Amino acid sequence: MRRVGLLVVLGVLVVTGAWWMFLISPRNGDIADLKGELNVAVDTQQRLQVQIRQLEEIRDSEVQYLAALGQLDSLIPERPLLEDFIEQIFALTNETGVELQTLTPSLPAAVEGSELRNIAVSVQIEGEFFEVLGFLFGLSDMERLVRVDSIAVSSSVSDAGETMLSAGIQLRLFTLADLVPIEEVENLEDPDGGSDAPESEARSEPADVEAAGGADS
Amino acid sequence: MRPINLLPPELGARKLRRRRLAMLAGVGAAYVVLLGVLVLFWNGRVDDAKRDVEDQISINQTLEREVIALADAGDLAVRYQDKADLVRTALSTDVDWGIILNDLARLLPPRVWVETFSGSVVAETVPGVVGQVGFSGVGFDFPDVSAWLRALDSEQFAGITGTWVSTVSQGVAGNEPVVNFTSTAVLTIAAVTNRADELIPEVP
Repeated sequence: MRRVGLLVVLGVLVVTGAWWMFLISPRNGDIADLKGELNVAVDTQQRLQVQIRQLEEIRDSEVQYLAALGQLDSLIPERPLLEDFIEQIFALTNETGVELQTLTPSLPAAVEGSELRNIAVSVQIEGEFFEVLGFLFGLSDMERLVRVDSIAVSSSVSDAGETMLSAGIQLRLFTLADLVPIEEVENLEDPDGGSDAPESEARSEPADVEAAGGADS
Repeated sequence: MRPINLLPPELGARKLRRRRLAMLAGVGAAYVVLLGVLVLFWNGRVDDAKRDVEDQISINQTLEREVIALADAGDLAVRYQDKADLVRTALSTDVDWGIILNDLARLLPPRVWVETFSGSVVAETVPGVVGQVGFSGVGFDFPDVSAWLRALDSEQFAGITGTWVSTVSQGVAGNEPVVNFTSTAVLTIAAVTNRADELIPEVP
């Protein structure tokens, strides 16, 4: 009788173990997996809600964003706009009183690792110390982004006994496009594979602009 | 009155055994039914968890549609950020030469004057050095050149350090004996402007 009782208990244990292992444990695994998926989905919900809040704030501030983009476009325009720069620098020389002697802009050149194009400009000016100083500060305050990479100043005494400074300034403007779109240049190439000679010559030589108007100031 | 059983005792024992076996089978069947009910309960838990996930995915899909509807705002912010990054790139190691010239004039020792000045921004090969400057100047005597070195190395001249004089030679200016000297120094990170921060318009 005691043996039968032991066998019954053993049978119950075996059945319960098998039930747990083959029926309940896989379901527990499924529940754990689904809870994991739920946690990920809840995190995604929170991330999306934050993203929506940020996007709604941006949408509500669209005018400010567009104004800021306009200012940034003025700093680094899409096109080289050399004509505007020459006018602006001529106006600056008139404001500060320096004499603009030469202005030598190079063709836009790509900046490595960036979509920016450099336009190196060499400027030669002459004026009194504070006029030159005003010109340098004026360059920093221009509507367009201008950075000065190097400067060489030498002093001399004029016939009137005034100390005059002659300054050679290497500055850089920035734009986002080549002077001539690359695709158009490729289309200009003849079918034999020869390139357009005038185009390559134009690219290799910087344009030299004598600022005759600067002398008037 | 005490019942009298005339049947053999083996018959009674067999009957008792059969009753016990029947009871055991009944208990066993009830146990199996209980296990079956518990399996159904667990199935319900799995279904609940699946439904929770599906509900959450549905909520997320609604939110994703909202994000897509606001894509224009996202593009606007990306365009702003890209442009701002371009300005930062363009103005990395930007030096304000106007301030340097102004400081030079302000801190020049009394008996010294500068005839030429040159400066350029260089690639940052030495950490902290962003450019170099060179001068040729004139003083009345050799100690004036020492005063020049002290003035440029003073803390008042932010952004310039490592001032050096490479040549000092006697000369004449008019009828006055003078010393001519050439000097160099390097520009440190303190000479770099924060123009990018000033120029990039702030947005909410």
